[in-house]
Amino acid sequence: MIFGMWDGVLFHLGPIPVDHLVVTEWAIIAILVIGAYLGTRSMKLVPSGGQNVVEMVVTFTYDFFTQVMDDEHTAKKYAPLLSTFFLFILISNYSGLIPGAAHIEGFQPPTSNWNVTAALALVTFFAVHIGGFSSHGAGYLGHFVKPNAAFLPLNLIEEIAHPLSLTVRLFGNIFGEEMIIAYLLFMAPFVVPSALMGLSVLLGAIQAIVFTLLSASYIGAATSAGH
Amino acid sequence: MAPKKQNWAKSLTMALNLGTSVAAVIAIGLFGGRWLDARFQTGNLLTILGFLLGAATAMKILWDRMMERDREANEEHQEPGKK
Repeated sequence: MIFGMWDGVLFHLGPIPVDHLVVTEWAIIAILVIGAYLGTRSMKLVPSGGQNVVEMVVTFTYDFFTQVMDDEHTAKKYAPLLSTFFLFILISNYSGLIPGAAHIEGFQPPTSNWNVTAALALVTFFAVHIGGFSSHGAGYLGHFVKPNAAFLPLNLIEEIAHPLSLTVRLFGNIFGEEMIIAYLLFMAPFVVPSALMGLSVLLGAIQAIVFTLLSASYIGAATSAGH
Repeated sequence: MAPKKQNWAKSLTMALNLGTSVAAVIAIGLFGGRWLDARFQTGNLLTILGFLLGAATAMKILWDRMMERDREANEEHQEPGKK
């Protein structure tokens, strides 16, 4: 293993090697797609059962992102992306709660690999700037030279810092947590790791919320009228 | 008039954003400078310059957030007068 990366390749799709992490990600995507399909397959005007739960979650999500982004229209536009981030990261983090997951290929949480967190952060990065350009047109470039042109390097560093901090925070937290659980499992099986895994349930949710909140904040800042 | 309800989600985001952004920009400046020093054989010059640039960016971020908060506070104070 090289710094959070499994080198075990399962098979190749043309020239692209597919490893255990990618298959785990496909499984998570399948869970999300099936869940969304089951929750929305028979929508009714007067909701009942599962549709009630889905509608409640969607309404909460819209309200929550409206608070963070200060604009209902932007919140509704980006809520699907941000909610998908949250659910994907949450399930990824929880996939590591299987005892010793960090040491079993195929059960390693995808978010404990920096390639995955970097890919998620890049999606945010592009969403921020595409959102900025679609809201302000070419005028969006003006924010890179605010308050004047001398601040260009500082503003560029700030922009690069966003995806970097998103990547490192999520990867560091989940990878570190997995390593600690794995070593504790080796040194004191069952009792101590179990307590820490209980804490991991909370930490996994917090990390998913933090990534989603910061992504929402960056998108909200780039698309806001005062930008 | 009842005080305006605090937007806890926005405040939490601002706190999270501030801490990580400040750390990240200093790290980018420092490690970027170190990488450039190793590439161009310039001793510690670019590491120091990178660190200073990162620190300056961190101060700018703090200043921007402070001004943003100040503007929001002013808007909150002005709102009752509008009615």
